[in-house]
Amino acid sequence: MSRSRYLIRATPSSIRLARGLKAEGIRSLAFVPLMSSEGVSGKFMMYFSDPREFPPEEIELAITVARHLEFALQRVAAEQKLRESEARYRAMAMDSQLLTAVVQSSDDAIVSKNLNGIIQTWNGGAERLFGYSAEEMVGSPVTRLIPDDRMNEEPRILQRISNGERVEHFDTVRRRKDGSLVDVSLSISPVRDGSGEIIGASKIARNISGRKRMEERLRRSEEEFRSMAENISQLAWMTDREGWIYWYNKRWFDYTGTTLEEMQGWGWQKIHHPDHVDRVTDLFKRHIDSGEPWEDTFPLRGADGEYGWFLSRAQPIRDEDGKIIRWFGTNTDITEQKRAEEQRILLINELNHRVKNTLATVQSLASQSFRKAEDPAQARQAFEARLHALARAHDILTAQSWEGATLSNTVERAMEPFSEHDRLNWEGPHVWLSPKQTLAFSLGLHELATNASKYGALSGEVGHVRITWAMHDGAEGRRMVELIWAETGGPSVERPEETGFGMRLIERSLSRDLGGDVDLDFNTEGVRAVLRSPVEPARSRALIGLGREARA
Amino acid sequence: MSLSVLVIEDEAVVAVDLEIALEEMGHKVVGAGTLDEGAKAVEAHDFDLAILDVNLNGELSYPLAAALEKEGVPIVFLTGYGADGLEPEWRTRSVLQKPMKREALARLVQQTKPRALRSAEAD
Repeated sequence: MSRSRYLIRATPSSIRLARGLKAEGIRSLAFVPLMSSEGVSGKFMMYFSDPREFPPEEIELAITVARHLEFALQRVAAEQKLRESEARYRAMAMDSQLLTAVVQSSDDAIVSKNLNGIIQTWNGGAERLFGYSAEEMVGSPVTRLIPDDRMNEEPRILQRISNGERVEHFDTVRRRKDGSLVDVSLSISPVRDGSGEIIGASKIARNISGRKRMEERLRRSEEEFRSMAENISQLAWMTDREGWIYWYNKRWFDYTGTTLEEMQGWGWQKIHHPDHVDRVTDLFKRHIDSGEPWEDTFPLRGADGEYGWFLSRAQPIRDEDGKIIRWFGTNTDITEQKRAEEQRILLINELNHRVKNTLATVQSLASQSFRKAEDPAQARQAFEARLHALARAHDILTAQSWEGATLSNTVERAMEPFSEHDRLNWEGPHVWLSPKQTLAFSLGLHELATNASKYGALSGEVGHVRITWAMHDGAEGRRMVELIWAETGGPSVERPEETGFGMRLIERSLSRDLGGDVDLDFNTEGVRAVLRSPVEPARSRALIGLGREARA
Repeated sequence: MSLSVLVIEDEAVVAVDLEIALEEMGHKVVGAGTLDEGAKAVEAHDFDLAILDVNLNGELSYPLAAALEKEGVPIVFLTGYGADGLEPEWRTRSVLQKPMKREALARLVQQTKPRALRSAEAD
């Protein structure tokens, strides 16, 4: 340090300093710089309120004090530095230990390698995942782990690392010591030295076999669901939690002839019947809001434009917390059941109609049988005989599901009560009668036979009745069946003055109702009746029996 | 007073019984078993009363009933279902339930005035 005085250049800051000193009343000033290894670290100052020269002994003293001060400060700084450095060192040591522990205990394999692909470190996770110990692997090329068909991966990874890039979540397959393959996800980062130069790579390999298995299981379960959903006989669909439909099965599209674009969300309303769509939508929305399972029945328009009836249900599907995440719904075609139900109601109504008509018929038979009865026992007998004739006609119709009966069968059943003495016979081709014709012929023939038993050919011991029938062409191209009732060998009969119920019934039922006609002749040997009735071609089961049906 | 009565009934036994019953009461009866025949009869005769079965072999007799009412002929429905079985607009008409009570028939017929008398009253 020189003892010469220094001149201070006038700069704005030095002028400010001079003014400041003046204001403080300082008139003379001396200072000694305090030095440290990093240069000037402070100053030691002496000042006085009057201008003065600094004598050499004062300057010596000031310099001595400044040196001591300098030394003390340097010592304090060094101690401070030492303490800091020790603390840093301890922290670093702990960090490093911690890091090592973390690396060692990680489930992931953590491996470092140099730019030639030679393994530098190998943690416990790597031992567990790949089955090799650190001794076996440190110094070995990382390619020991790579299956033959994936050897091309390593140069690419090293290339990217050399360029300073990271490789993240690269899913691949590696080979274990025992030769088995393992699904891994790799994350690889460059490792740099103090100067920032890339000297290698650290690699984290995570075992994703579990995840892969889960994915595979999920995929298979999804596949199973799809195959189930595509193969069930119902139409099926799924909605999000708001009821917005995002998926339909193939059967839905097959039945409706629509596309997902048309149908998704609330597009399904398009194929609902206008009379039902508002009701259906309201109920559906209420259930989506409340989370209650939904059920409804409504028509859906098919691809052919026809509406079919569907029983529809949807169930909410919930997550682990019980929150609804979606709805799964189905529509079951119940058109057939609906038709069957309608058919059943129709049948019940038809049955009621038939029963009431039958009761009315029985009532009429009773009233006619008892009308002019002089002998109640005889009247009862006549009534019962008519009732049985009606019952037999019902029998043969029931046997044919009320579609009709053959004339031969009708004649046979009608003549049953009269046929014991073998003086009745009949012959004719196969003719199919409607239910009404069957009833008319049954009751008409019953009346003829009753009349013959009382007054005609069957009243004595020798008379015969021969019934024959044949098909003829009638008016307007109609096919007519003509049945002839011919009594022979009986007493002479005369037309009664008043046409009785039986005869009126024959005339009425065959002639007017059924578009036929009746001729009745009262001859010397009994009655001869000709009954004509049209036969509907479609009803004539000519193909079944072309042969003649007869009772000799 | 003798009436001219049209009976439309497709069950022959019931029809003949009804016809005979009406004839015994002293009335003149034209019977028909189908709507076509009934329509022909309406053209050919002036009836004082018409008794119509509702369901004629599956065909309903309302059109014929309407034609008869247009002609001023009072009608009575003959049905197994009673008045409830009729279509709503026809439920105010007289009904004879099947099986039928002879007294109900007699009462209905007695209440019916012959056409000639009715037109005389109208004048």
